[in-house]
Amino acid sequence: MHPILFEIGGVPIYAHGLFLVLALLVGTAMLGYEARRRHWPREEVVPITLAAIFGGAIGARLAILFFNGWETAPIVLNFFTIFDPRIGPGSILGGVVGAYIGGYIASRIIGKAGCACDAFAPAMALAMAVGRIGDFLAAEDGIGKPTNLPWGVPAPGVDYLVHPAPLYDSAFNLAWFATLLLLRDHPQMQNGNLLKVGVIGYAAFRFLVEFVRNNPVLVLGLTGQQVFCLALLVAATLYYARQNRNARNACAT
Amino acid sequence: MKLERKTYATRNQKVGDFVIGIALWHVTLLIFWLLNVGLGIGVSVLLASNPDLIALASTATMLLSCLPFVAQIGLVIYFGLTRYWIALGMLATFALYFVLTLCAMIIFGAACFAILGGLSGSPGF
Repeated sequence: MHPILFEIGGVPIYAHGLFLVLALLVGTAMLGYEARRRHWPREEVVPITLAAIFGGAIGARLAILFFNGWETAPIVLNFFTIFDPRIGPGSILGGVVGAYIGGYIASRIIGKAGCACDAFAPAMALAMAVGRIGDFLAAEDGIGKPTNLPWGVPAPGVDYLVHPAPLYDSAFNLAWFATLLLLRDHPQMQNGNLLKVGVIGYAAFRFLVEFVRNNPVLVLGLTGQQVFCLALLVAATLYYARQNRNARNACAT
Repeated sequence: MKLERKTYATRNQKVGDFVIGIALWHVTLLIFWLLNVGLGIGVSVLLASNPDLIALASTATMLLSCLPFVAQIGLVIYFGLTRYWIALGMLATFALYFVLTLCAMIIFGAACFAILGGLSGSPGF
């Protein structure tokens, strides 16, 4: 592992921070490209993106309370620590949901009819694919659980091989990015559906990958992240079931 | 209460409100920061004379430190519905500082949340 990638004039360059910034850059570039391709006007992209950043930053922090317990409350609930570079930005799951809520509220406030937010879906997957490489290099959360599989990797502080869980995440997100690119022009993947599918796909994958990660178990042998993903998947199922019922009723009348 | 939305006629009006948003973001946080510092001093004095109040004091400190969340979210939504460009100024300021913080993580090495419980007593947290 290489938590410190290299030094410039004695200043350490941390893998986690560097890949986080690279993720932000590629995600923003992809969002800009998709927004332009979809002819999404700047007057809508800018406020929705800013609101998504605001919601995402807050959601990423608040989710930590659920995942890591109340003992993190003095830091997580302190607004000023959002701007402390010695503290990580928080959970990507909470960030995604917070960004979604922030973007949704902004859309409603600017009176946007329909949803052009599908431009976020491939950008999000690509950013996560890049960001997770930093997590791997920084050996975040001990990387993963012990394994005898041939691709197991050594982890700091243990004498056995572990699952390279952040790399699984990165590989999935890269494949998911390609899938979302293929789906992006499908008629049924418009008006917010591509973003929903993007989030649902990641939640399903994250539920599975949590079995080889080191996060604390919350209930019924499941980690907080798995409970969160299950809740997201149930909510999505209910939403699409309702949509289907409404569509069928509309056809019947 | 019916909220009335301002209609912007000129570019100058938009820029003016955007600048107000930037200033408002800073002023709000400055007020809360000063309250935090004041409460911190008050709590130290109180605990020196009555150490049994530590649980109450830490709860009060934590509640005050999370008030900016409520205030910022409330103000952004309120101004989003009334004076849109003020809300945009506040959001842009937040995003700028947030991105700068992420950039600073390149040289600071952010701590993982799993160990943050142990850092809560450190200065600056």
